[in-house]
Amino acid sequence: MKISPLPLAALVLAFSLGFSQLAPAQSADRKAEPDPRQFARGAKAWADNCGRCHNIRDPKEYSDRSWNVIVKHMRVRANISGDTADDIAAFLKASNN
Amino acid sequence: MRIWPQQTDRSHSDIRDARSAPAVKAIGLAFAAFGLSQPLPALAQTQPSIADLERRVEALEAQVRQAAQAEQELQALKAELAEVKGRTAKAESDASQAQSTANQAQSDVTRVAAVNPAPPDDNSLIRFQLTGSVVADFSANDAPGSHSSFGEAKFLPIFLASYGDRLLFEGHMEVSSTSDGETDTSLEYAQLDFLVNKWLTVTAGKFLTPVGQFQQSLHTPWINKLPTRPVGFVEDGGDEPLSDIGVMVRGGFPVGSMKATYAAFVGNGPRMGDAGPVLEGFGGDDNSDKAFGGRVSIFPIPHLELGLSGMHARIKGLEAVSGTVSQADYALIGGDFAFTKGYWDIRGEYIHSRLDAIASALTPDDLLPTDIPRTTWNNWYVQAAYRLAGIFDNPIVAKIEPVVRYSQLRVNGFSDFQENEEKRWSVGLDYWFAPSLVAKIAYENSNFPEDPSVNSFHAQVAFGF
Repeated sequence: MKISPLPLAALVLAFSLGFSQLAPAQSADRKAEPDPRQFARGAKAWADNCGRCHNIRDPKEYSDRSWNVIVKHMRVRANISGDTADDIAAFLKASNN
Repeated sequence: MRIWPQQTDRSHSDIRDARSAPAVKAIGLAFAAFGLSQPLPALAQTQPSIADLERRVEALEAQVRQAAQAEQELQALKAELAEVKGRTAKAESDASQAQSTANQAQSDVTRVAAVNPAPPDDNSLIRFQLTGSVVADFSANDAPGSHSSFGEAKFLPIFLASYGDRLLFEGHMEVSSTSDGETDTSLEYAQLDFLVNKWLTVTAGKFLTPVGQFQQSLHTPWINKLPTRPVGFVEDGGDEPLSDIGVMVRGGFPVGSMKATYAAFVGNGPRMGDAGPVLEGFGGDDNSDKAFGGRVSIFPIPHLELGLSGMHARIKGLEAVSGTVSQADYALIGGDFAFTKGYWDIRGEYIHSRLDAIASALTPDDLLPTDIPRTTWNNWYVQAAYRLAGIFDNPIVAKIEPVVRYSQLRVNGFSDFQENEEKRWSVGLDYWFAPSLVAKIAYENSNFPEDPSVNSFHAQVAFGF
């Protein structure tokens, strides 16, 4: 089977360029992996609680620092228990990069 | 029947064409040998040998042709091999160049990471966040003497500051441009929250009254699905309390497989106004009786919330130029529901409130108080919205959300207060550019007990950040 070298070279080049764009962000924002069970609970709580009053917000809209404060704000606004708020915050911070 | 000489001539011609010298020599020698060694009568006996030679010559000719064809194929294969070698060399060169680029990129990444190291963990004690919303709208109606107008542009910042894990400050302002060109600033809430444990938060300051769901959770422009509020659920003179100043406890907790929430408050309470009780937070109390109330809700299933609210206060009549005013009990009870599942958002509220008979001025300029009889307010709305993403895959159509709402306010008792009675149908379309960026249009038909009905058009753009 003949393999044309041009697509192969283009693929290698594209991977190289893509890596050069993504790698700084990955390197700079590397953080601990969340507990998978907490992540799952947080995803469900995020969909169930946030959508009660407004459209659920994209986790990418805020940084980890912002989510720390905003989730606390919404915990008070929406009468969310502390455990559930922690789960939601963990999910949002694990999903915003 | 073959003629031998002709056959011989033809064979010779072919031999020349094939340029087969050994074959020609062999034929010549054969003829010579037969001519010298055999008498003419014996010529007939030599013909089988000549035929045999002829067959051998033909075989040789075939071999010569095959050899020539094989030579051509060999040359073609050599040419193709040379081309493949050239392309392979080019591929090796390209791959080497790509690897060099990747190595350079990796080097750049390492250098950038060294210059910009990962940010430290968010372990600062005080954390600050600015959020809020902005809104701009337009409205027109067919009421006599009215004009179409771009409405009040509003900027509603929310300042958040947390101290450690348990203390949070929330401050919400409203900055708007008024119809006379001034800028109006008001404080929606400014509260300090102490998160005692995972089920209890204690709040002090000015807060949105935890009664019903619209005023405390849904009135923000990018959350409210229509450009207008339901009848009676308004900022000034509404039937559902907007805010109060005092102390509040609130939280949420599980009840078996269900979830429940609660909120209770004590505050300065409402004051008397020209259209009834003014249910906004006042920075002082005109009597010593505090208002109290709250709301509880339960989620029998994950996407359905059922709420029950109540409030009690004692209201002092508005002082007139002269005369004596009285105080009266004010009581409120309400119920609400919300079903939010998938692309559906269906909700409704009912508020019933009552003010006992009271002696009060209607404006501070009144010479004497008016005896206002016991008056009740019945205020409700139901609203349904559906996001078309549940039906259509088209990325533009999927962002459209039709909304319909019916709201009503009925007043029984004092005739002046009945002027606020209204029944209103609202039909609108929202287009969601993003989860918190929406453009809305709506048509409304309002009916009043005494005045002719009014048709109105509203448009609004709202952004929550």
